[in-house]
Amino acid sequence: MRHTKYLPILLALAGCIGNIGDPSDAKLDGTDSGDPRLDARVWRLTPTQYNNEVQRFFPGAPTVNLPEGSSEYGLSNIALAARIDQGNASQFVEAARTIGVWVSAQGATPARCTTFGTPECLDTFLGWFPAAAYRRAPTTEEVTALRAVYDDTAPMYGAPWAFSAVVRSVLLSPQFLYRSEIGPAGAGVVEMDDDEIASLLSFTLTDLGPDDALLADAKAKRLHDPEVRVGHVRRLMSGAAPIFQRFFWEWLKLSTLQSQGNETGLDPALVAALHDEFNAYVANIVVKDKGTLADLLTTSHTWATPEVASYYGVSHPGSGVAEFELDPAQRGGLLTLGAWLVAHGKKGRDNVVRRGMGVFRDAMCNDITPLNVDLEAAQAKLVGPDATIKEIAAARSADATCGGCHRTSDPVGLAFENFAGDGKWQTVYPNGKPVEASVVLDGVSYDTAPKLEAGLAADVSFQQCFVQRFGHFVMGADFGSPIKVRASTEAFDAFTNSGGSFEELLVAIVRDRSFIERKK
Amino acid sequence: MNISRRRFGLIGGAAAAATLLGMQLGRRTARAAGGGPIRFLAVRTPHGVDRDLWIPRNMDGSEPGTNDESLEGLTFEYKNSILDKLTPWKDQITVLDGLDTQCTKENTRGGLYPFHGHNEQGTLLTGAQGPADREGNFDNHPSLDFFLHGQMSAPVLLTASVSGAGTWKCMSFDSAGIPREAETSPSELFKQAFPADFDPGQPMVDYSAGENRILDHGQSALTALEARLAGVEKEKVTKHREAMKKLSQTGTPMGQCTTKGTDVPSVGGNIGDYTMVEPVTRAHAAVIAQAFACGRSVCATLRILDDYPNFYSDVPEVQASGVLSLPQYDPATFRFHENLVHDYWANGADIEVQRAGYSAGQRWAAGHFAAVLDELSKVIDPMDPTGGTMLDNTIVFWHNEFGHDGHDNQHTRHPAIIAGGGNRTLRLGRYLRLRDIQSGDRVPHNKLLTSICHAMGQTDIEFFGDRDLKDRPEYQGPLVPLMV
Repeated sequence: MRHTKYLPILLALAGCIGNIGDPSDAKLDGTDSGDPRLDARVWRLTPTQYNNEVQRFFPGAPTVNLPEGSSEYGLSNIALAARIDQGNASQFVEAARTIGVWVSAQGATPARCTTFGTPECLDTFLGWFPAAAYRRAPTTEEVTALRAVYDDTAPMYGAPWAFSAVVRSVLLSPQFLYRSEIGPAGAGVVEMDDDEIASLLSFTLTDLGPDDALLADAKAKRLHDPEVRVGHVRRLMSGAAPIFQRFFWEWLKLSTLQSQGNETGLDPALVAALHDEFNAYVANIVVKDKGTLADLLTTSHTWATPEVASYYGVSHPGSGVAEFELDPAQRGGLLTLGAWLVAHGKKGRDNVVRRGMGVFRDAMCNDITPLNVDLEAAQAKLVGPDATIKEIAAARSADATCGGCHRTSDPVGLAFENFAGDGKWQTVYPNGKPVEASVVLDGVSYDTAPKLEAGLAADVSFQQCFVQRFGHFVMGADFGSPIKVRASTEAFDAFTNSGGSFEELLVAIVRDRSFIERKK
Repeated sequence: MNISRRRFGLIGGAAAAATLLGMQLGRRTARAAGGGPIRFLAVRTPHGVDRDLWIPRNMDGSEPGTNDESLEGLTFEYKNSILDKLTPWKDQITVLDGLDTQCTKENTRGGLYPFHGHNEQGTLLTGAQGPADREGNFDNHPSLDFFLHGQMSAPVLLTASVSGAGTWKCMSFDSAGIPREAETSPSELFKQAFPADFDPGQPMVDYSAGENRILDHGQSALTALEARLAGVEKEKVTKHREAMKKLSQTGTPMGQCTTKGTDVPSVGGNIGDYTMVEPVTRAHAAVIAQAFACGRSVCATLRILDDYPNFYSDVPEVQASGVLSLPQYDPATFRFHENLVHDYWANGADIEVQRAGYSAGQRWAAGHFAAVLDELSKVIDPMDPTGGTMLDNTIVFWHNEFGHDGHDNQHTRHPAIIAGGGNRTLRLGRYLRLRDIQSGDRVPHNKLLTSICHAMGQTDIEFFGDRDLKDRPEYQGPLVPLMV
């Protein structure tokens, strides 16, 4: 919104000094701030990826609890932060124990052999399991080391225990726990090897290790070709819904849905249904319909249960999860779904600040340092006890200190005031005063939240923030702003030139050489 | 590779081991959630806590950016931090920020004490409003340990105390709300738990050599990986390798109930000076762990010091802070509670020195809690087919006697930590900010008590606490963010 008009100027200035779109200027060692490369690194599997992989090897195995790494801007799965150290190593040991014991208890089936507990069974098992778990062919030394674990422990504890020890050894090995992005020996910028690229592509799109098609191209050393990588992106997009669901959930900070649903008195079953609706909305628009960012912020139909339709005050076509229309004057887009509204709502209070900041800070990448003041006391100095919500917001915006952020965030939050803390439509507050939700931003009037969402979808600052955060999410590290970093700029251009296609954004990121190059 | 078979002679070799394994696997498969039965231990320390020094922080010193974060990326190691001794236990604890003993303010009937002050101690586990005389009974409100003990089968409810005794600041209350006397001597506590003729029978097989073999397997691969990386990425893998090696060196301790009724510890309850607080704390925790392991008890409370005697002032770190030398204090008569806990909030010119002294004392207390966790983790739970420790199978609730919120002795921002329990029903390794800390919102701690009930299998409990508050929605249900 406010930054839209400045963007072309900023881009022009940046282009003049050679930071953007000019690969010939890039330093070969990968340290150019305008065209950086990530360090050679290892990237620990997330709890989801770990459990998905285990299910791939051993269908029906128990799901284990593992620690998440810390997040950046709400985004989980940050490569540098996902560690195994003294604080959590025992959890990985326990997880491996749980799965190893379970596998051994099942006998021949998960081992894919015929007679469990025999040397032949172990041979069969070592013939497939390390390769599957390491996501590449194991070396002879690696297989020998695993056989030694079995041979050392079987005489003491018996074959079942020794078999579980082999499973546990694999699940505790760095070859399984980490995806490596190191490439060949050498210094400077190097390209990752094909097995590493296959895993990066696969986990990025599916939270799973590489499938047969990716493994085949890795074996043929074809994944350095950007068009081959792009082909895999387009092929795997149909299964990428969980990735996009997680991204939008984390970027827009919906982790408070359950707690705020509880606080605002919603039935936990309804809260769960709203969570499901959010996921269905993202999956249908982004993946199934190959929609755009604008579609995601303006679509006024949804996919949910009759209970959710009743919550919205509209009719449902039947039973179970089904597609139905919303009242377009009230709702349209991700930010008017119950999930976002409740996650940023609070019982018995106005929600101007929570929802305004949810957009201004989180969705538009404005870093904000909270003021170290007694906020209620500060507000009491600005307005009297009978002030309306709109008057309070106006006073905050006019204040020299508070106004720095609230001048922009409060009008956005006010536009959502037709939704109570529990996300239900309201035209009057519980105290009988009418809701005043029409706002003016940068000279443009918005009298409903859906209209404001449509404005947001067209806003360049918002789009830039989306690209920057999505790149951060995909790469597990700072992707850089589209106005500062070449790869981010090119991804942004591809995204906007395609009319806001999520697939084209992902293709642009994966096609770029920075996707497969690492700095040593 | 060096595994001595002599260590496993008790069960007679591979065939018997396989049979035992079969038993374990069968139990494991039958128990979908894994682990052993859950026990409950409540621990309390005195003097309130400055919430700002008690929370984990980001590496740059700022507060956690969201309300629900992994402790993995946060730190307890910053200036005046209270919880730094809990760093090794990050994956076994969850820090609750913004909990309030709100029920003390409700004043719904006569004969209550609705003001701030030393009135939260009994409230913490009863969830009930405190009596006007501030140490009488809790009017037919039992404490959580007593209630859970009644719901589960075990011979003894253990109520231990390091130094503190008497009904003032009692933790445990019976069904009539009458304070239960705490036992200050670990040797006497042991005698309560174990009859003199108690004999656990033969121990089971020791798998520690095999466990170490598994851990050793990854060391060479981690070393090779380190060699291929540089900078922070290399450091990341180094820490991984060292952590696994440490687990390997520690091995898997023998944990089956090996305690006999004649194994009375020699540690008594006499605290001569501050140096005896940790040994006595450890001795109590060890008795509790053994009683849990041997099925002699499932619930316990451990109260680690009261406001007096004045041991906190004697701690070298407190003395080194210079707080006793401030002009307004007389080192000879300085009392940690009156002179520091109360004055700390005056926020005068000496606040930095006061803060250093205050946090040093609380850091000392956190070390006692870490010692409790350590003792629990040393004991393998023989009822756990997965080989988990007693810490994995015990919900530990550590709280302070009251919170601080702009002044001493407050009912708000009540510091609390949940530890142990194996991440099965209560989430571990998290920082959970339960509410807007700067606001007047309140999160009644009754919800935490209900969460613990659920974790202990009492899932039909939707409210635990004062009878006058049971129909109030804000007091009902568990703490949702804490539940797995």
